[in-house]
Amino acid sequence: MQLQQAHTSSLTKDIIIWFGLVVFTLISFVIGHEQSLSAEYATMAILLVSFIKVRLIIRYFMEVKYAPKALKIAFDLWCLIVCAMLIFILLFSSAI
Amino acid sequence: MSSSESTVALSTDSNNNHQAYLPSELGVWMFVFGDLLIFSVLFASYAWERVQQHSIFLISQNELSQTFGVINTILLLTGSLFVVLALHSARNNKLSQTKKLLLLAIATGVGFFINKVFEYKDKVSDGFTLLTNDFFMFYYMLTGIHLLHVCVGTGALIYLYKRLSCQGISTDNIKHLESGGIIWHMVDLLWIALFPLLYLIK
Repeated sequence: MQLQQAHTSSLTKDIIIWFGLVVFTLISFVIGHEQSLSAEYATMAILLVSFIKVRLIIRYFMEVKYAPKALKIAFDLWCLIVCAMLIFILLFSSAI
Repeated sequence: MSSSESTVALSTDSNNNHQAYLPSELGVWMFVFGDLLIFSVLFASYAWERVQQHSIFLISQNELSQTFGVINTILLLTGSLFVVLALHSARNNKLSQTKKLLLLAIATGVGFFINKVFEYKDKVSDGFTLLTNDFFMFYYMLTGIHLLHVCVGTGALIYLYKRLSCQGISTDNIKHLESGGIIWHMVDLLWIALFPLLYLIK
């Protein structure tokens, strides 16, 4: 019974995560069309929202949340490095 | 590990943080991580070229249909949810429900493919091909490689559906389902990163 309840709550959580991912997609879409934001801020915001979505998928849908620590760290580092790299190249590399 | 044991492992870890559980197998995770690293290099190359030819990339990007992109994103996210729910059903030994959810996930993969073919057709008929400029070279290359991943992911789900239909739910098949699910979610997250780079950023 306890296991069933754990699964039910987990199912509810997965549906909430999916809903959050859809909302984040629509937020990115709106930011992409927003004229009042500068191009730099819009690009940074769109990329940050996207990598939050990527991390949510890795943690909850791929179940890395339950995986050994090494795997969690590897995926977190990948998200952090790729997001930072893209923001750096797109926004700051032209100044070099 | 039986299905109920794998459920216990997951529940124990989520509730008490006592025991880690590695879904699927190490080889699958290594494949996924390798693929993500390859895509990271492709993302970086695209971003670098975009900075060098900013105005060309921006003008070309405006020719893409963001509606196609948003629909495809929602299709893949929904496919991912169906795969997650299918795995839950399999762990609870609900064969019929697992198969139905897998079919729905397969349908989202097929939907993505059809939507992408229409998008390509639209672009080619407007005169934008691989040779138009560097933006469209990246667009066709990145989305083409990704579409190949979608086909492989959908193929894996079809294989799992057939396997479950023939053999029913077993420990082995739950492991296979976890592996198929991880591959599918990787396809999803690659699109989540590709979509803003090609369609949205300014």
